[in-house]
Amino acid sequence: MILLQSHSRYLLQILTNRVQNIDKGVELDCHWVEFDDVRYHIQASIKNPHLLHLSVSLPTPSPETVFSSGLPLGAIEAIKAAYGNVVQILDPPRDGFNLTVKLNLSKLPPNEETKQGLLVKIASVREVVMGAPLRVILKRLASRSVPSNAGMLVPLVHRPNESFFLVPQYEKVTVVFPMRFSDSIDTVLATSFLQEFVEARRTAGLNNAPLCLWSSSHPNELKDAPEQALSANAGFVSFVISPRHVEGKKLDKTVWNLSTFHAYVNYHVKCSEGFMHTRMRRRVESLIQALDRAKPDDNANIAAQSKSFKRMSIEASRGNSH
Amino acid sequence: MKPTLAQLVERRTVVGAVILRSLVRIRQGSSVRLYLTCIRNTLEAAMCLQNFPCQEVERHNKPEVEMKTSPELLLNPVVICRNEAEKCLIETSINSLRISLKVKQADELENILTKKFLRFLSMRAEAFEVLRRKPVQGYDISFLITNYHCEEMQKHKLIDFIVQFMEDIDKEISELKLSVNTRGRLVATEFLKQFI
Repeated sequence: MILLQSHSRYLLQILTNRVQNIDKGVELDCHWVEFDDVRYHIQASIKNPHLLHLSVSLPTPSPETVFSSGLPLGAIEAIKAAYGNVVQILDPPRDGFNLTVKLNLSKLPPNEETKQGLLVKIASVREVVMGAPLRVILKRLASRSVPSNAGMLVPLVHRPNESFFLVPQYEKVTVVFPMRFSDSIDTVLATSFLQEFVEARRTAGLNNAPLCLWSSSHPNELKDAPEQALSANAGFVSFVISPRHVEGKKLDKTVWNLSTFHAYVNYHVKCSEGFMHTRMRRRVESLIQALDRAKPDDNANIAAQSKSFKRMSIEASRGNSH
Repeated sequence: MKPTLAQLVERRTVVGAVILRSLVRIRQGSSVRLYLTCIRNTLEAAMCLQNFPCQEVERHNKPEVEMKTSPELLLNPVVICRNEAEKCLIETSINSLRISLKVKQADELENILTKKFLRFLSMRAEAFEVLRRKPVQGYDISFLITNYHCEEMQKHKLIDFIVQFMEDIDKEISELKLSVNTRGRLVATEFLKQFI
């Protein structure tokens, strides 16, 4: 799996299972975390097998990011637009979560295909909620309308206490990610990965991809950004998104890809570390074998000894003494 | 069984001559082959170890190159440099030999990979017997070979191992670097393809 899928696989599995065995509804209470930042909780009881309570906890926003009542701007509208009457937002959300929704499985569409589609959509709740403000800006870009906040810096949350920045302009939106990693090895690997993004963009087949830039110091776009956003140990990546990248169906993909860019890089950094460990283990084995070759062969020794010495039995030695 | 002064002097000259010869050769061209040959020759000359009990404490037998208690048992340490970043220190004593390697690290990525790989090896020092758990200061990885190792293993094959080890480290690190870069390119290409 190279690309990250937008739906939470575990949530989708729970939902499909539930829909298929709706009569055998069992008690359900699960917690899990995705990409180290979003926490999910799902709960269902035997009494009402049709009702599920899904809670989502989003990463804590950094001070520059605007959140309205615990959710990114436009998230509530986005949820209502995406799910219709299947999902009902509960206010206030559960303790420790940003959003709690009630899923009513009896209101799912009867058609198998649309039903499955809606379940996948529910499982990608992260994309809908976290990507809501990004989607609004990119949609405006797609319709080529002049944004009211042209040239202004828009910070959006993507990791706990970290934001990435958007500069909406007419005909293009510049997205800047300050990349931070906690581990020094991760940082170095990620830096080399990010430089590959710039290199890859230069190849012939990717001429139409968004322009991609990497620099170790903050780019010009971030000159108005608050101080704490300007420290990034793996440098800054900028993508220039033009209207052709957000046309029609591409909008969803672009929103997802941009809002999980850090998770994507981090995932591959971890994968290559795992790969390295496998390699190193193999190399250790081959080196130990090389060292073992230095030890004289025990079997050969025994064979050599048996030739040069003849073992005498007690009878034979007695016979000799006589 | 203390070696006589004459014996020690003789040993020192033999080692010195071999090293000088190798150093002259290495000056002519600094390819890896020559560097490794020089190390191999030096090791062959230096690896004449014998059992030697501790002079201070009765019934103790310690690697003198580590203890450094009696200067008459130590030989001159030898440094073989390929360039500033790549060198090898060989310290010899009557009953033990210490080899320390510094591996070249051209950039930050190589530095991290080298550190990671050598740490991985040092942590498995138990399995390698001749590997030291901690490198000597200023080096990346060290070996400690005692007379017991020379007794239970064949000397020339032990030297083969050390040389192979050095070759393998270089090869592994360049391969690891290549694999990181290839993966980075693939990851980037797949990501950017999404937008087309």
